[in-house]
Amino acid sequence: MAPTTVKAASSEGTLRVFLEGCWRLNEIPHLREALKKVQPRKGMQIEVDAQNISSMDSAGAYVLFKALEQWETEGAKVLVSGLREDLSDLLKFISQASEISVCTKPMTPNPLYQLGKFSHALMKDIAEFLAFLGESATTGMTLLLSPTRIPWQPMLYEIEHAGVRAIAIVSLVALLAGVVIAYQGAVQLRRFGASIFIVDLLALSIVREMAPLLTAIMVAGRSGSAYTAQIGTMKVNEEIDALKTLGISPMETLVIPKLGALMVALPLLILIADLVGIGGGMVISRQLVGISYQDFITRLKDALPTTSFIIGILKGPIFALPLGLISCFRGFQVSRSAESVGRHTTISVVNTIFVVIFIDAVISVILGYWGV
Amino acid sequence: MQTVVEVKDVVTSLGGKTVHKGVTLSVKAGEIYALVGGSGSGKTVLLREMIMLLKPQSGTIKVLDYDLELITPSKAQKLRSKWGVLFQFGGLISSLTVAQNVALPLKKFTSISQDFIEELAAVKLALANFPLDFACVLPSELSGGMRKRAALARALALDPEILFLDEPTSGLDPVAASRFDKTIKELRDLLGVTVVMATHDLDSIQSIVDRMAVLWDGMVLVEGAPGDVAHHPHPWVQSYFHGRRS
Repeated sequence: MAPTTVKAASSEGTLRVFLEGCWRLNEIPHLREALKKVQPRKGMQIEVDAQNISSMDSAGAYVLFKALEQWETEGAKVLVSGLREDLSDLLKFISQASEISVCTKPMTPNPLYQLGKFSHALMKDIAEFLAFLGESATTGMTLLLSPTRIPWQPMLYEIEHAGVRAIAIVSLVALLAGVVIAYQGAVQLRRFGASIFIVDLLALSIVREMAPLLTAIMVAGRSGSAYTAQIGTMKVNEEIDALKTLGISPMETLVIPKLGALMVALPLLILIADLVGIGGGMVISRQLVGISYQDFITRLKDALPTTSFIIGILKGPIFALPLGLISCFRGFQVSRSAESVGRHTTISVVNTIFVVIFIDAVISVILGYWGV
Repeated sequence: MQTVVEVKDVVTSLGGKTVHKGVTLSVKAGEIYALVGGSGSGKTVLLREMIMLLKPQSGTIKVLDYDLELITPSKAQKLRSKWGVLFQFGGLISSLTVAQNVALPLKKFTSISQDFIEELAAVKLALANFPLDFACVLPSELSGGMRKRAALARALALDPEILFLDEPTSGLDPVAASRFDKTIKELRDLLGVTVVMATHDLDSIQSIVDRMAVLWDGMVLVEGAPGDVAHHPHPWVQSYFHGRRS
């Protein structure tokens, strides 16, 4: 087979161009280089001899078409001869089809545009979230007024998945937190001979702050992300639309059980985290500064006011509500693509963890102001 | 004429159920070939075996003289660049725009510069009769018919020798379906590409298909030009060609 080449020879104001070989996709870079070397002068006649082109695909035809067009705009007269009939049909079709090029690179719009787009998206998010909040509130209220309609069974299912199955990992994290606090605290307090205050330090920090916060963050990562992904995938599969047309409220069947389950499960998980965390600290205290279990528990009764314990537990439902709302809301925002599910799940986890920590900070400030 | 796809004594069982009991057929270069059969007759399975997504239990499949049973990974890669596949629901990558979908194989497998790839992508989209105004749109925003055209453009990206189409006209309205048929025939005439498709669509069979095979009970019941197949006495063939559905 003849090699794929472009040869040119000029005589008396006529440029003769010989095209040979396979004009196929894998030869494109090479052909484009070769065609660029043919540079006609204005008013010149170009005779293209294409009889030795053995095969041509659409990419090859496009390259040839572009070259012919280029020569013509440079002011040459172009004559093509010898091109096989089927190939010239292809060339004709390509020349009709190729008017515009399309952009395959992502656009990089200017910063002002991006700022505007971001602000608009943020405002839209807030408006949509308020609508979602309102809808879930009205649905929740109607259910509370007629308790027989409360979806108990799905709620129990969600409690098992978000609560019971999280016990192991929440306990492990709480245990480690207790160990770390006891370890750090013990070293400092021993220098002042105030080792017994390790109990105060442990009890207050675990029960008021660490246990609620760590538990909520674990649940956001475990269950919040699952809620977003589940509702998002249902949206992609048109299941949400199907539920709506069947007259079944997605809010009632999907969101309310999850919210209810989190509000029940989170305080219980916090209680477990309290016990395990203090237990871990207790073991470390005995090992490190020699406080016996009996002394520890006696001191614990004085060190831990009931209000602190109740505040810690109450943080459960307070965190659970925004956590469940945001993760379900982000699920409903998913559009019909796989990528969208992933993106919204990420946003959901980041949002929920941020909101939990933010609310915790606000509670701390308010309670500090009241002196509780 | 040269044989492009050769299927011989293929036996397939999926999940304990025998789909093919010994399928034999051959597709010649440059023809539009249809695999026809009732739902569950295994035409899509056979198509997926031809494009190396599934393996038959026994029997041989040769595509462009490569035996798919014995093919090495590097040769398989080479073979993949010689065919284009149109999946039933398009199979477009949802995170890329239509134009990016078409440009994807060109970017991966050729050394062509970015700006020229963009022009080529537009040519492919025009070849598939895709409205270029929608080229920078995500697949999720397209209608079913446009998605199929976009997927066809992507299948054409590397100028393949064979096009495998899985139910190309399913889910299209009759007008769009016959326009899609016309596009397929136009591409075959212009580019000389061989077309193998699994289909139900009687209209496409009567208007564009050169030869067809009817799959029935795990075997090829009859193979030949649609005009000849229509005279086969088997009741399924008779009710397929001559039955009225409504």
